[in-house]
Amino acid sequence: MSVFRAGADALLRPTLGRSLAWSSRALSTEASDVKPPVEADKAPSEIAPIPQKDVVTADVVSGAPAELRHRAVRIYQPTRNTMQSGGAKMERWRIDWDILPGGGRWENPLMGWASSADYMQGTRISFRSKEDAIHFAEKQGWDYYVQPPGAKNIPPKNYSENFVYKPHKLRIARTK
Amino acid sequence: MLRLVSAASKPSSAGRLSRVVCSNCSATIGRRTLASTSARSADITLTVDGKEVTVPQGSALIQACEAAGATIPRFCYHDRLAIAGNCRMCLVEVERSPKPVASCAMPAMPGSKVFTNTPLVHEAREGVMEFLLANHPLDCPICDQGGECDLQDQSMRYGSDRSRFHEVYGKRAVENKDLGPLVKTSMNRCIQCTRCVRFANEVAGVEDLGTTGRGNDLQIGMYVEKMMDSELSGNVVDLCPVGALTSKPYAFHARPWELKNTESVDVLDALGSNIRIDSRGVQVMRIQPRTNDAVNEEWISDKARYAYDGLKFQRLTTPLVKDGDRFVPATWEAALQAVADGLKRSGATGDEIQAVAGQLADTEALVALKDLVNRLGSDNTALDGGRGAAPPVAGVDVRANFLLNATIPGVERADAILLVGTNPRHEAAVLNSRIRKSWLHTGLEVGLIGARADTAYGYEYLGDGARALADFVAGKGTFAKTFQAAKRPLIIIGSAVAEQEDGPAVYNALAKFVEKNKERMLTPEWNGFAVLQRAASHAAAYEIGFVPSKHAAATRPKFVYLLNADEVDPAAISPDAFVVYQGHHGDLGAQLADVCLPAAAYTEKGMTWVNTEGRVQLGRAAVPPPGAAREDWKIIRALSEVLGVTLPYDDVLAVRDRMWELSPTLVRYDVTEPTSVGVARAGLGVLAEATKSTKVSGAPLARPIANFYQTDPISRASVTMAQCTRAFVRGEDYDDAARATEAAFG
Amino acid sequence: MLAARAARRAAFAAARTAVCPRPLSTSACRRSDALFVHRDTEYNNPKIPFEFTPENRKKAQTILSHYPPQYKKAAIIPLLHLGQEQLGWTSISVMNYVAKLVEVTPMRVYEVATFYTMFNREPVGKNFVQVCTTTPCMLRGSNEILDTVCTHLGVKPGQTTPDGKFTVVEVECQGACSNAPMMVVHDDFYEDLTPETTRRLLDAFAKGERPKSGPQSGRHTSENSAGLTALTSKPYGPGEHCQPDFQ
Repeated sequence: MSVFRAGADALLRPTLGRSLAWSSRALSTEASDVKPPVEADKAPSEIAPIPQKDVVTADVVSGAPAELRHRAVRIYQPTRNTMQSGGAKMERWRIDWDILPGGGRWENPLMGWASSADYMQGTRISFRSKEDAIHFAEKQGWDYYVQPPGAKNIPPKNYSENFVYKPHKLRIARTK
Repeated sequence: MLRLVSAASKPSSAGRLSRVVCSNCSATIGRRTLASTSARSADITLTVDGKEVTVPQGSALIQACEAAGATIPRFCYHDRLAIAGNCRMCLVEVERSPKPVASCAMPAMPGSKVFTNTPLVHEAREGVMEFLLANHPLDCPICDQGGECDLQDQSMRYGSDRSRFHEVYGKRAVENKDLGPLVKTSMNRCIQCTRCVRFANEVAGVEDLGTTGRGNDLQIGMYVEKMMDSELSGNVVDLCPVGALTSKPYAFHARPWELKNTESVDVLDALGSNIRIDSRGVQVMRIQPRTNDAVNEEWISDKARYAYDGLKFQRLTTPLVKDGDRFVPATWEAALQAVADGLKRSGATGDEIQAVAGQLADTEALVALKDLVNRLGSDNTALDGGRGAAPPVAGVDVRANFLLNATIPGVERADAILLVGTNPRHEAAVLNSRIRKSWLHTGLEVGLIGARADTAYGYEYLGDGARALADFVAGKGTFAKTFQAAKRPLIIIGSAVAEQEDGPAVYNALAKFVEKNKERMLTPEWNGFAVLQRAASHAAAYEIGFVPSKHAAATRPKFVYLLNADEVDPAAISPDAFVVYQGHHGDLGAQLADVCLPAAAYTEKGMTWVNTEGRVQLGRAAVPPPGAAREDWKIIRALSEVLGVTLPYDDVLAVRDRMWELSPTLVRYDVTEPTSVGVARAGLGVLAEATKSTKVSGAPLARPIANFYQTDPISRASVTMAQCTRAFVRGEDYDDAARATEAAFG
Repeated sequence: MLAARAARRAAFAAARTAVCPRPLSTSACRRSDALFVHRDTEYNNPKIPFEFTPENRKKAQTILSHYPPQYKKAAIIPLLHLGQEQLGWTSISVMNYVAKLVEVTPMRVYEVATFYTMFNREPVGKNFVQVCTTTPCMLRGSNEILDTVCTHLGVKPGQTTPDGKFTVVEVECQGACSNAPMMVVHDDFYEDLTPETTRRLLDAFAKGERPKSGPQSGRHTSENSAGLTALTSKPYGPGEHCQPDFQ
């Protein structure tokens, strides 16, 4: 039976079972001692050394529950909403939490609302820069993962391209 | 040691045209210019709002303004479409120009002084806005675009609260069009920016959309009654700056401010398109594309966008154990014990224990399952569908043999493409739009071997099978000559080729052909041998070696573990075998099973996915899995304990450490790592050697996907995809009931 | 389009006389819509075959030869005209046929055909009467002419007579302002109209005749209708005032 319990434990409460020794590790720690890719066109990976603890760790005094420290946060730059062309808030960096799997949220049987046992589920924090976000996460003692923003590559565009003479067979009949 | 995943791998991560393009990327950018006019290597400098900015010559003024950080309102201009210049919202003032100029239609000129924030500009834009609103209905409260509407936003700044202009008989009224089950139209709201028309013509390749009439009576449509039959049609909903084109399945379901956005990765094809999952509570409400020029630009296929309602139906929510001829819900303990008992009872040992992974298996689960099966003494790790139960033709020792080595953006750089046994339009719709883009704007020539297909670009049809390929290799025909003369030739081999009778022969011929033309096809910058996978899991499965050994493939399994495997051939599983199905949908695989273990779907787990070019991307969980469903690797981990072969990882980080041991690329996110020329050549050599004794039967290369809209358990469970199948594949009336409801709203 | 314009104009006329303020609650839809969307009918659907006659095919080849081979699409307008000349109107089959000839997707031809008002996308009567009602003609009494035409034929602008002989539409300026008011029947201008001459012309057309085109007032061209005030003398002939050497 103990085997079952352990199995179920791993299944249901995986994050709680982690020892504190893991807590200050970012997601891809082990990958760092891999050689950077040999190809010339790829710049070497950005290695950020662990700062010399010059940040005041807030988690000791913040009163945040210990479990919070076992949940890695993601630091990323939200992409523009494709429904709109405005670029406001595009430069911000955001910290948010992965949802808790397994009972983190459920539909309230009475009203159909979503209830949650996850006190971080609605929380997201915006920062002006990546460094600010990293600093904050470190201060709070959170594991974090920095997701680089997606590539953007818009070629120069020109109205006159609509009317450029093509000597060969046209592949598209342009309109409007 | 703390490692941040490489930001430098994105060559233009800063995202701003000016600084990036002019500094180091002008050569690459120059290759990709849309026009066939002379190369634009030079940069020009101009002043925008007193700020000097340098942009490549030939840029539009609006791009220069953006580069200077000025916000230019716009409706018709879109970064990825041709410039139309018809909304006039982007007016700016240019020094010594008598009138405000439309910055999208005006080229940036060196030395010019541009002002984007002067009274003249504001007045001009207010005037434009007044005209736009003159015919725009005031129905924001019942409009689905509300909250993410460009017109709504911009009218906040430039709109007046009343109009000085009245039509005697009210606002223009335009009949709604029926574009199919995906795009809902409300043409009264149209401001005629023609973004949808340009998208359909340029990107989707469905040149049926246009404008009819003129002046006040201009309207968007197809003139004849017709639906928009494109696998990218959902993107016009995004493009529409107003609520004229909205999403039909999402209609009246949610408002944007209620939704929680989660940035994730699509898994319904092998491209790994970047998506944003918008959820409310425990439900996925819609899926939007996420801009990433290295993968999907700004588009996603209709399947990726609209199959999400399949996540609500036919889900496995609780472990099920078969009792006689029916399934009985069980606890996790009982179900895992039943699996252990079943394994014992089946008497399976060694290679008789088979694990079969399906299209939607994530990398962590694949690694865990392979470890588990290996610990049980078996090498029998197979993939479902086709010939997944046999060792793959191309082998898995060299990544270059099973990946799209040219990379997805690299496809645009090819000047001749040979498609072998594939229809990218159905296997990777977004990639297909890239090929079309390149075909339109460069002199790209495309050849096709295999079943004829409507690809949205012109191609030369070479034949239907290995014979035609032999002719091509021998240099017969015009396309073969074009291909020989090409600087960056590319061969895209469909994943289905390996599943066909002539697959080995085709691979053999191509491997030899690439070897023969190695100075053009295998260089440090260019690898012209590309395999287009169509299942999200396959690149990862090959990467970690989730393939059977020769001996294992010949064994008849007595215990089968199906991981998301729904394409299995029921006849291939012996009736006395004990079958476990782990997955999220009660599809085919679950019907075969003795025990069903409910797992999380891709929106419910933050797992690693490897796309067809070998790019490793991390998905994110947006909503919790329903009921007792759990993440796949955890189920396998728990099972391993019950089976007495405990896997040595307790959390997902440990699994990823294990993945790193298998292949370090699996933890380097968002980059593609090219295979070096030497290794790629060696891989092709092995491939040629392994397939040298095969004979050509001449059988045609069949197409793997007959129905684009239903290829996996999620899309098969989706009502929307079923409607698309009826409308576009079978040509039936797709939904009378829905139309009746619409009428009620109308 | 034409009918729509006519309807709007009629509405304007009504509004002018009654001076009714625009009621806020009604925004009656302007039923111009159907004209820019094709609906299959018995007489107009893509299944009805259309092809140029051999002579027209030759003409079409000449037209196409004016343009570079990759820019055949430039010939859309002349070819549509040719099609309209042959069939009498521009059916969907004509558009599809032209699209095939110039190698573009049919939608590109639909765009052109719906943009220009002189492509009749509905069948018209044998005599297509276009009455100009733009400002100069209006000042010279084109409203009266239009009324005459309509009452004489018993139709409203945009309609065809039951016998299929006449279709009446209002058009914008045809460039014959100096001889206003005017109307166009077939491809001929009939100018300086009065209600009487208009009726006479229509009767002649009804009989199948082709009356003489041009000013119906006895004017030669657009000279002063009250008689010439200048250049009254006989113009001198060639060489009349030259030196004797050249006479």
